[in-house]
Amino acid sequence: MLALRVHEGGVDEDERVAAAADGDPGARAWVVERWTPAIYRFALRMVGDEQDAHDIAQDTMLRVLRSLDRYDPTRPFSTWVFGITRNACIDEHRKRQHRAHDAVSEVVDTAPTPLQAVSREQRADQLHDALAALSPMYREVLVLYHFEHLKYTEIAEVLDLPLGTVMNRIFRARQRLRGIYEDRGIEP
Amino acid sequence: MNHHPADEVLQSFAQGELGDHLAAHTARHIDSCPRCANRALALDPMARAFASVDDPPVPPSLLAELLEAAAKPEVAPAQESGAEAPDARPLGWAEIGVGGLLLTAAWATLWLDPGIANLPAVLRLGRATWATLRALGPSLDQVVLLGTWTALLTVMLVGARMLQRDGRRSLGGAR
Repeated sequence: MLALRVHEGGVDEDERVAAAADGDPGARAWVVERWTPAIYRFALRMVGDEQDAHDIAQDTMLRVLRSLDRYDPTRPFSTWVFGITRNACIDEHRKRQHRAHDAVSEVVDTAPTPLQAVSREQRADQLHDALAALSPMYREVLVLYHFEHLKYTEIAEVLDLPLGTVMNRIFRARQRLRGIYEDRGIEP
Repeated sequence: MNHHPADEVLQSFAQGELGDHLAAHTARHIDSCPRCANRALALDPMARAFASVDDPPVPPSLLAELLEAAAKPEVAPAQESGAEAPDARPLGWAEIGVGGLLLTAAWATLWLDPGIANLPAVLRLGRATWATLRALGPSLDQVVLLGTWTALLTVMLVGARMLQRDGRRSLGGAR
């Protein structure tokens, strides 16, 4: 059974973010506790390395706290936070491209053996391997939609792209992911 | 889209077979309709793969470090410094208006009473320039009017520009 998609936000969140921007210690702690897990998860699924994800999450949250006065409350807080996180991930990806051993390419070269029956943990590994084989622009839209439960319009805001372009990218990403599963003989 | 799309449409949507316009239209409906969002997910075979994955645990040390940092005043927006410091606060409309009025007053002073005594050097230079311009002919009144409005418009446009830039930055500038 697929989980219901629950979109966060609302008056309570708006008030807490506004209080955090005004320097309220409790509201600032709430921002950290509410958004650090989401930032860490997104970073981990984008870069695939726990230490790098830790560093990205730390830098991103500090940046969020320092930039709260720049947040435009007419837009969802989630798109602002994920926009900052996404750029941190892009910076990390650029750094990796300059390294001799790219962790992503190592993952791409791995060809898992097809399995008839796999555990939940193995399914998670298969998905993460397949996601790692996608280019970052396809990986990020799938992660934002399926894991972080952003709406399509919110993803368009995070990426700063028209909705039609984002939809096209999501469809292509799904097709490529499905193709990877088929090539590896894996059932979703 | 006021009605719920048929399963066939959602199936095509999930498989990327809708045209751009209809896909965007359907996406907007799905965004506002949890029922259709879940129907679309149920029709997407890859969605099952995502649904079977648990969220990775967040390192407790990360949360602890950030909570500690959040309590420090140097992480507050007002204390920010260096490359991440916020840009200068944009002018408010009241400030733009006051600036425009001051400019208008300055122009009007020189226009109505160019013989002001004991002017500082800078204003004497302005007065001399003004006297020269006035000597050129009656059309200078029009020049004054045009100059005044040009100055006012410039100030207002600069202010609007700063406000607009700040609005964009609030979404993407901190990235």
